[in-house]
Amino acid sequence: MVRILILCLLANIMLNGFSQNRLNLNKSIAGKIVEKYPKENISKRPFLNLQNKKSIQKLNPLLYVSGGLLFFYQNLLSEQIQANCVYKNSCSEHAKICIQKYKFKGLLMGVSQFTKCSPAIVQDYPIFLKTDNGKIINELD
Amino acid sequence: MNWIKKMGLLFCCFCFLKITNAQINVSFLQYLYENNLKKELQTYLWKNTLKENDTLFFERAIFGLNENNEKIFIENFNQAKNLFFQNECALNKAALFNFDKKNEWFERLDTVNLFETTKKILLTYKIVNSKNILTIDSLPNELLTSYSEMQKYRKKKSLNAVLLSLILPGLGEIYAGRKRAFFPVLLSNGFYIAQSIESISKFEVNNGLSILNLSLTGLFYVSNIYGTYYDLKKIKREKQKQFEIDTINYFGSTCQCSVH
Repeated sequence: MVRILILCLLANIMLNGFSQNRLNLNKSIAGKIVEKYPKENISKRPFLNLQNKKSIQKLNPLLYVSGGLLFFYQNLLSEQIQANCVYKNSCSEHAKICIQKYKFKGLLMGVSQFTKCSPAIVQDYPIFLKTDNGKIINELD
Repeated sequence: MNWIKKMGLLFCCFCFLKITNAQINVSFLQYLYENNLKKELQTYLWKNTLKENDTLFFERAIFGLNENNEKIFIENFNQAKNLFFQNECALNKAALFNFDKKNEWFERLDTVNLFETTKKILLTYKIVNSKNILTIDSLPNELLTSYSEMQKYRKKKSLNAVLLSLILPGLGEIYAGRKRAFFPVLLSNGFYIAQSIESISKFEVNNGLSILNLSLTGLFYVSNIYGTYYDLKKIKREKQKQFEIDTINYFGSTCQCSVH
């Protein structure tokens, strides 16, 4: 009985989390309210890009576990703290892109950005590397 | 015979119209630029009936400059070189356009008959792209700050940054120029180191939690070292870009002219 209750509770939390997802907002209602304010384009955060991977790499279960965890974090947990991110690409997104491009070096780059993350770091970057909202542009070359 | 005269007159009118239509109508171009009619401008400049001469290539190259289209500019610049070398404003604009582009426009530039401002832009370009420190006598005072900043960071060595990060996490970041990253890096590394020490003292090294903590500590420590190395390289590029932007802004504001 207790297990069923815990499962129900977890399902409820997950459903609430998904309902707060900004991508699922009712656009017709939200659009009318926020249309006069400048809006920031929110990019979708898909699962890992597996198109360029070899077929043997696609069979690696760790890839799906780590990718799934990242997907779960980005689309459910991260939604609540997104507004405070100082970087244009959040740490998880940056790490994902870096790992896909540079493998182990990418992991180090992702962790490095995560450790440096603080509101004060914005002042260390030149103006041309900041967006209109004051976020740091951290796209790869 | 009368109808022959009429036909002849009509033919002359037709030829006259054809000849005039083959020339570029500058006032019409001016009108298109003023009203920001880009598509119409492009259609007009690439119209088949226009006679292909220096002026047309010049106008097309200017269109490429205004539209920030490198391909159009380079294609037409070579055929309208003479007109560019007669027009200081256009040449300066072209030089500033190619300043931060990684093409060989400056290398191919004929340096004999250049205007004074173009010479200065060329010198600044050489300063940016030369690894050696050049004499900066002719560099404007407005650019000296960003120039000295760029040179200061060029002298910094990656090895020093890496060594400093090895000694104390975050110290390399100060050396690299991200002073505000020192405390976050130090705290995150310190937190994991402390956690590892605690888990080893409470449990043993063979314990799963200790192994996990040690792995995370190692990952954060190595990422701090690599991050410093990567940051220094990135900061060097940032300073160069800043100098390029300052140069473009300075010369762009000093030569207040409009080609169109």
